[in-house]
Amino acid sequence: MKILVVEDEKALAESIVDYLRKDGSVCELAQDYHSAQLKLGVYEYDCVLVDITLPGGNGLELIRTLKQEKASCGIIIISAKNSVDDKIDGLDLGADDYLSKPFNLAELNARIKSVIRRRKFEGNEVVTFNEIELRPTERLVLIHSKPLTLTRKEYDLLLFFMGNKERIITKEAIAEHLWGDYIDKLDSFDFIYTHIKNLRKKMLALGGNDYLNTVYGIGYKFAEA
Amino acid sequence: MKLLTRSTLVLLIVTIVVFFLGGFVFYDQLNQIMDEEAIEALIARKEQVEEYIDSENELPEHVFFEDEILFDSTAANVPQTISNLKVFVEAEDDSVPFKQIQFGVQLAEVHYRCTIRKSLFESDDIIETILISLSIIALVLVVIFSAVNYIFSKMMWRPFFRIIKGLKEYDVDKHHVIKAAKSGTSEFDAMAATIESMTLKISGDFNSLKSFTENASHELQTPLATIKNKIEVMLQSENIPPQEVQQIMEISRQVSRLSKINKALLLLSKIENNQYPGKNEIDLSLVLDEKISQYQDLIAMKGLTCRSSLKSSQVFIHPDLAEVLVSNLLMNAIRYCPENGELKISCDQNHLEIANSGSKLTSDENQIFLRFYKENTNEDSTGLGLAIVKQIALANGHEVKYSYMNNIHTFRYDFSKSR
Repeated sequence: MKILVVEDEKALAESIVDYLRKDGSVCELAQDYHSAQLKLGVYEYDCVLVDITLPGGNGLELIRTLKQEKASCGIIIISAKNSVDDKIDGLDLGADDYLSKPFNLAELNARIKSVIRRRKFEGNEVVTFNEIELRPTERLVLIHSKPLTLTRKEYDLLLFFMGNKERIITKEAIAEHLWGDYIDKLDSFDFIYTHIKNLRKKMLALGGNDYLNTVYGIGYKFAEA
Repeated sequence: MKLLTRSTLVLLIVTIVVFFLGGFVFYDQLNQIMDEEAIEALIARKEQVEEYIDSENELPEHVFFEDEILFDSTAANVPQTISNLKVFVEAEDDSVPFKQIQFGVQLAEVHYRCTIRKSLFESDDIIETILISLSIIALVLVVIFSAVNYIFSKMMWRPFFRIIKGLKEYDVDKHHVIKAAKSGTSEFDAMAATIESMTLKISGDFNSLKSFTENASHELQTPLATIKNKIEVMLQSENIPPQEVQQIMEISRQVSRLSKINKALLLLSKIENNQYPGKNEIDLSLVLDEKISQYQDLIAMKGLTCRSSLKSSQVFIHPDLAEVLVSNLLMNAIRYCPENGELKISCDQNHLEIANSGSKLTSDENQIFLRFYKENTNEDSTGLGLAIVKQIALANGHEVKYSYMNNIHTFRYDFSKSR
């Protein structure tokens, strides 16, 4: 995957790039409007992350020109403004998603994956990891080709993990992904534990392996043990 | 009392007093003139009588018809006296005032007292007529003057009342500045100009204060995002000692808390600044239904019994705010409900009600909607959730009330009035 991060805040952009590069994605950085325009004119990207307020121009303008030239490229707006108007304008211009700062990198990664899936494979892509097969359009999970019955939260959790495999995900990121912004009780971490326990049990019951590793004090990591 | 009534009344009283005093003085003067006039006439008559006696050597008993003349013989010469008296006149059937002069005359060694009487009846009549017509004039004048003054003042004060009306209706949130048209009266124009510049400053200060909160919150988002994401990247590293993990997680938690407070403040100032203009007809029961299912596992995990009765409830509100409203009330109820407690959720055409069981608040329940109000030292709570609910209610012309009865906390969100 080739991703362009258009973000003027260097430290923030670097951590995004660091995180995304972990699973072999090619990730490039543009720190102002002009250099973003140059890069977009020359290279092809699977997904572009655009900040709205940029030195030298407006991110929305960037989306406009991008949409005219390369329709297949996924676009996610990352903005500190969290303004309803910007969100509507951005999505109207053809952006696929809108994420307001601050966000979890795991969340950003999951959104990028989802956008690319929709763009590239029209949603028909199958996410696989060893014996696990996940079909997002049908919300179907197969283990050793046998269907796995999951609750909505368990399915969301599994998809979130598979989009962020080999990475440590904090409980907080999981909680925000599952329940949204309004969740703020640490108790919810117990709920995550319960969901993960159930998910693990169901997967093991169909002969799957346990890829849900607990990382002490931090969260979980979906990886081969 | 209105200024106009007051000034008219004062004018009226002063006019009446002046007219009365004036009338009195006028009457007095007139009386005196008439009196002098009568005396002069009597003296002139006396001289005529003396002349007549001197030349004709007889008493002019029947010469002067106009006035009554009497002659009485007296022992000695009498001095001249002038006096007033009342005499009954048959023709008038009333006593009529007379003025009389008495003086002594001598004819053929005989002394006479001559009395000449002059009726004051006519002059009294004149005075009366003059006074009556004067009073009528005065009355008419007062009426006309008051009416003109009333109408004219009303017209003159119109710009003033326009300014007052503008001030009364001034809402710094809605109006920018009070502008009054030129009235042509320099005092009112000065007042209008002062108020215009004052409101301009007020609204300017208000807006800069509002945008300050918003800008400050915005500016904080990026550094917060950077810290948060740096920590996330850092945690990916395999070889962090466990005791440091704890510290890092604590930093991460605090950053999250900070960013939540920041987001909540930003939301509050955005609602205050009316930055949610796109209102729609939203069925709150659908939003509630969705949120209940989203939080179903939280409810189940806490062992809460949830009873809900959701009827269609159309509210004209921004969809994002509808979601925030429902989430905040619902999360609040779930959070403060003790384990195995009870939740009661209902909505209909007029209101939304979310109740949870729990013990009485320890602090003042009137403060529950205040910013940064916290019932306990719950570290995770921003203390802004209910303040946001209140602000949403204010911005949409709704009402939200808290009540506690029989171990049940109830939040009632009433939107019947906005219809």
